[in-house]
Amino acid sequence: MSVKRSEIQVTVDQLELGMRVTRLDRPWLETDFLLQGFIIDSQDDIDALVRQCKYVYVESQTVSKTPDMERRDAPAGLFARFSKRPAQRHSVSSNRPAAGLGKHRPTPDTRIAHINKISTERELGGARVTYGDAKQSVKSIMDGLRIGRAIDINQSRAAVNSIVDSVLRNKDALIWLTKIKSKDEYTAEHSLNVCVLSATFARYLGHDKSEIQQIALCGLLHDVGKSKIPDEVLNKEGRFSDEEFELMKQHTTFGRDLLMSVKNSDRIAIDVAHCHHERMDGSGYPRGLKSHQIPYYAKLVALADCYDAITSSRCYDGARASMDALDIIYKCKGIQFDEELALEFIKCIGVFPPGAIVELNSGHVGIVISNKDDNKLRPKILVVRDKDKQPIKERVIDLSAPDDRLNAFKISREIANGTYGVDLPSYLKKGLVLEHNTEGKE
Amino acid sequence: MNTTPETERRRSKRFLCNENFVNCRIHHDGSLIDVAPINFNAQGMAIFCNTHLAELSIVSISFAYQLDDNMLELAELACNIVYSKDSEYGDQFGLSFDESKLSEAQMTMLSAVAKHIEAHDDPEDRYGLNK
Repeated sequence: MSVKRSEIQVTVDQLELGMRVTRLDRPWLETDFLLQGFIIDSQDDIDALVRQCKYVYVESQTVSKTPDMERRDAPAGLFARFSKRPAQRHSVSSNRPAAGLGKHRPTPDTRIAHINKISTERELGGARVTYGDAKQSVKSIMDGLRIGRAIDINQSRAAVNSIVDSVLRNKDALIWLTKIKSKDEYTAEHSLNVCVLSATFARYLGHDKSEIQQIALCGLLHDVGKSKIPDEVLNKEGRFSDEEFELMKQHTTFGRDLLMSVKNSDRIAIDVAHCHHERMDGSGYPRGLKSHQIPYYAKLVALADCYDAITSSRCYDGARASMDALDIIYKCKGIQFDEELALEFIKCIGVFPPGAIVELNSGHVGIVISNKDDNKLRPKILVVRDKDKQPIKERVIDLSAPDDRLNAFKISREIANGTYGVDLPSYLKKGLVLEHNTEGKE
Repeated sequence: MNTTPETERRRSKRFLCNENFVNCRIHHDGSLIDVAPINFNAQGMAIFCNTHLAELSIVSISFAYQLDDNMLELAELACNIVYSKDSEYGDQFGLSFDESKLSEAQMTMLSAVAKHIEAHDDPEDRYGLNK
């Protein structure tokens, strides 16, 4: 199945909830909208458009059957396609470990130094579409599993490939989106966030594109076994009893079995679904593997999984700050997590990751937009509150810029979403016009 | 993101617990449970247990702290649970020390520990990754 996107012009009286506005009849900067493109999700959005525009452009999708899908209808075609797939690079490479359990992080010689191809600001609009589409795919996979449908591995790969393309263009835009959590869609969102975080981490470690895609697929599918956990346990509003926790632990084995039943499933994804709760000290589950027996990709995905679990809200408990999650990963390195990878993960995420709401030493409040690998304490920030915590015209400042006026600014602490009326989802929904009014721009 | 207001309720910054913390345990229902100290200030601390715990209501915590040549023993400090979060990776608790139930000596030791950690904290390099 392929989805073709185009845009159509509609008058403002034709607007409906759920439409994705891509363009206006005038420049975005001449309007109140912060985001350049958004989904209409309230009457307020429609009213705002009616006030400011005569017509707008909305996204239109055409779904068509592709040759791939036609091949899937014919079993022989599918089999033939995958049986002819070339051998994976690592299995034939002489200077790299073999595939499967032997996969390792790149060495300094083989490490790829990825650079951002476009700015976070430019990537953010497309990343929102990618994230939304991938979330729908994950939900459809999880819902399908609950009613006994098999995993559509091609659908999973398509979602992963668009995520990886975005991460390779810019490492921060999708991380931004992982900060916006919805309790109601925890399982699907969590799988997708682990996919994004794993891909971002793999990029940071210097893996090549095909490896990043494989790692991201492992992240996306690591929790598919939860589809076999009864809803009343999975969505329980309270702490798990010992019996419930034992049942939850079985999601690793359920996940392995589900993925093994899928034709053309990725062997490493099976390993990761089975092994992502194993621990370095041998106290993990389901098998209590020792450190050297745990697949490298499972060690990598476990860090992304733990980070997102701690920073997300489940049914009854609140999310914790990014720094809390990094503190735990740091304290559990070598015991629960691979020590070397844990430290790299902390470096990759940084103390103030994109999407973090921070207070500066001046009292101003802002949202971290992006940061540099070599200077994560001085990121680029969208300042949204003045020193008295009053709303101000948003402006972007780059704390790493060689500018004396900016050097005096430092981040004093991360604060909770919603504090001083700064609500991350609403900023994203309204669209951020970040290319302008940037101080200290490189 | 950190949607709960606990972060805001903290009266002062929490510092990452260093290697000077030893034998950190919580007392619950007559049993002792080993936990990892995560971050700390004189008012409270965060702990993490990588096994699943049942619901906790009232707890006390004990730990020792190597302060220069002295080992400070802080036994059964009364605590209130400010937040708890369980995940498949373990259980996380935010504890505030119940000052009304602490002795003056315990309060003094908590302050000494907090000062020691703060003095050794590098705000530009919380995890010592730039050394």
